[in-house]
Amino acid sequence: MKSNKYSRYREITGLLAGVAVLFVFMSFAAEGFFGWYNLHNVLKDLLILMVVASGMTLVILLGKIDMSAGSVMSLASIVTTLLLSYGINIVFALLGGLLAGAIIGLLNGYLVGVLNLNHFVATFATMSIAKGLALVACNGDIISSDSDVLLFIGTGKIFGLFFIVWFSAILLIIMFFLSTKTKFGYKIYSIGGSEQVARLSGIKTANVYLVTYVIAGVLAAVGGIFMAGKANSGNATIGDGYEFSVIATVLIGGTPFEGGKGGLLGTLIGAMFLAILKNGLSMLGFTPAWQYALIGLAILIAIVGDVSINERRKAEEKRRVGL
Amino acid sequence: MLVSARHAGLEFRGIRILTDTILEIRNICKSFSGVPVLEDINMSIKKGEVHVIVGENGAGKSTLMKIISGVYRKDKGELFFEGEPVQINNVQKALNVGIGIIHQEFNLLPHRTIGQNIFLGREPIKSNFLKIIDHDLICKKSKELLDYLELDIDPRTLVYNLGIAQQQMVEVAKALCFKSKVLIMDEPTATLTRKETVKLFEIIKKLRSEGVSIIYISHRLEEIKQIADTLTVLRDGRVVGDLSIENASIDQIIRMMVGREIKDQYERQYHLHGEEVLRTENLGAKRFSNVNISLHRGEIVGLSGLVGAGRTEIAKTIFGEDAIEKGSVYIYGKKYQRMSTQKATRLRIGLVPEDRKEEGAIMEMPIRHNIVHAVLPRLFKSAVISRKTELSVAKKYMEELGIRAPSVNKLVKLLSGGNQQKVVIAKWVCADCEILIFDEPTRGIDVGAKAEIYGIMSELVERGKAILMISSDLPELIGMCDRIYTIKDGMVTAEFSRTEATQEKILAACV
Repeated sequence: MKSNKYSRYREITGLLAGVAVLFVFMSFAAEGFFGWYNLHNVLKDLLILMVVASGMTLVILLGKIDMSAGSVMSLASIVTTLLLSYGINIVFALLGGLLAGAIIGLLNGYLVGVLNLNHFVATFATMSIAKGLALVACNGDIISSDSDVLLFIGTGKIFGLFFIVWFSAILLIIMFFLSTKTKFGYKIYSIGGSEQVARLSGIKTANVYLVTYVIAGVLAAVGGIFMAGKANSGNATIGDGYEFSVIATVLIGGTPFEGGKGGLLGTLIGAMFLAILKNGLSMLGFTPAWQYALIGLAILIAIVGDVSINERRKAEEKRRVGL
Repeated sequence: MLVSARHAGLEFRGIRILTDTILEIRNICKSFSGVPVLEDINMSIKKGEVHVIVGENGAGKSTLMKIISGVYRKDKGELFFEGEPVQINNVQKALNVGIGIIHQEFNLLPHRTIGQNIFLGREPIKSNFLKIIDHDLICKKSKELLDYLELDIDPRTLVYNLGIAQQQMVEVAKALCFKSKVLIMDEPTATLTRKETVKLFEIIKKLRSEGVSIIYISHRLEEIKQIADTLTVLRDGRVVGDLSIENASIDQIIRMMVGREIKDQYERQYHLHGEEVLRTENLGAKRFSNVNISLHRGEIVGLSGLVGAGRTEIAKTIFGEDAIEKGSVYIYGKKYQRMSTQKATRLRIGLVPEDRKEEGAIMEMPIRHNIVHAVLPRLFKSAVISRKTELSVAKKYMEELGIRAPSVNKLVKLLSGGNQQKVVIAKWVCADCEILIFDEPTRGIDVGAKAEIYGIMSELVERGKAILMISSDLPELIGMCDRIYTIKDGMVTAEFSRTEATQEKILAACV
């Protein structure tokens, strides 16, 4: 009979095939899509998305969600550029941005893991809090930065590749390792599979929630700083709605809301899919307004497909179990 | 042989089929993805009889019931209802014909009233135009049904507020409301207390006297004698025998079910006990108070009592899942007034919970994950996990406990109940637990696997572990335990040694 690993493998290859089809289609249909300059930019967008989505993947693997990711991006960009505008050293400014993400993450983890509040409601609240703080801090203005370092983070290149690409690649390798090879990752899968069983097996669930949400917060902050770097300015609306792209990426990648299943590899492919689609659509001349609608449609198709496959598999399993 | 002879007999007495037999099952076959699950099943259910079907898990009982009640379609064979051939393609059809089923898991909406649940999907309406639901009628009719079932509850009560036994009665009422002539009950007593079981049996007898036929599936062989008129034993998708209940002994039934002799189920050797590993002193929490019990190495101590008496709560408090409110727990002689599940596992205490699907094993995860995930700190010194170690450890315990599965990568939900339970036990054996708490370890598990679980428990105490065992199955408790405490309303009422314990004495102390 099918083992868990096997069906996951099939799912991944299916997703990859979808990405390949989309890529070939866009290469032929969209003028200017297939070219180093454009693809390099697609890669950059993809990796920014992926950095935030990798944190979100861990949260969703736990069976929870983090609605505050987009707001944390905005907050981190504002905190960093604001600190720079006060003449604070770039290193501390960046740390400040990351710290803001960590604090919101810690708050999320505390509300969800320790106080056992509903994860959706709690992070919905912190989403608003983070956004509000960002707006208050910048007074609604765009805060421009004159830091070369920040600009380099957003647009600079090393050996012909964007700094973002190098940095994200390293970050992602660490995240892959964390989620698949460590005790911590193992515990995430246990809790996502069944929090009750995990707790009764002596796993300290509250700690895992706290750490995971902090990781998600910090990674969202990294994404926010990347965004700030691209424009070399901070903006309280920079991450508006970004959490939806991120959640969509995770779902398309085959990590369901119930948690315990899926993983970062799927999310990476989901990110490829979304980034290629977004870029290709704009190359095809669709306005951003149309892009929203079409991306929504793509998410729907991906998820409906996934759900129907899963349902069928579930029905099969049920029949087998019901022998 | 048996089957064909009986079948011929029925043909011979053709008229009797029409008058006496309500449901006739002929040559039913069913296979799933090429694997035959039911082969050539023949059975006849008479009007107004309680027909018990027994068989180990996987024998095909549930599949057969699902075919009769329209959940699955048969591959081959015929069904005759009151002598007429019927095609039952879906659940609705079965209900209209007059076949109702009460599944093991109830299909009730917790936040609706009893009446709304009984009439779900076919609510009576006041006027055809506005489609206003006639709540008064629902209430009145539900009340009649509840009265019939001797249940003194307001039909406007939310199902959420009912106990398991009452919920089951609502299911019965639902089936009666459809005027079912054949009522299938799948393990109805699995979650009932003895008192509730007696009550259910009264209702079953009442239904029988009014000509309703009951098809009754059960694992509890003791109760079959009380309730059954006829008995059909299934094994590996075939009927291995029909018995009338007067000339069937439990040993014979077991033999037919497993197809081999089970000598003594409870093979225990009794030694002198070792040091005390667990003691509670005036322990109190939500549902119990002043509990003083002790447990030694090499000993199995039982907690007996009715469901809701506080046994599970005592276990969960010792294990740190529920907070200690009064008193303390001594583990290896050291006093603890606060416990947590982390502390308990560090102290090498393991809990095999009552509800293995929700609390015991992660159903969607492979066996290997379930076996090692409680021992991560001891298995891996650093933060990194080695797949090789994980696999070899999981394989070792899978073999040691005799978990039957093709590989350690198999998802737990695909295993049989007995093997799932063995996975849960493997988790704690792998964690090298000194104190193990087994809460209803053999509930819903077939006879063969039960004996294996008893074997595992015996071996654990042989190795000097200590076991605290909660069970509602008195023969099993008496067969396995060195000492038994009886719990009633959250208090310890008596303590019996192995030699003193009898079912009567224990029951008297429990109720």
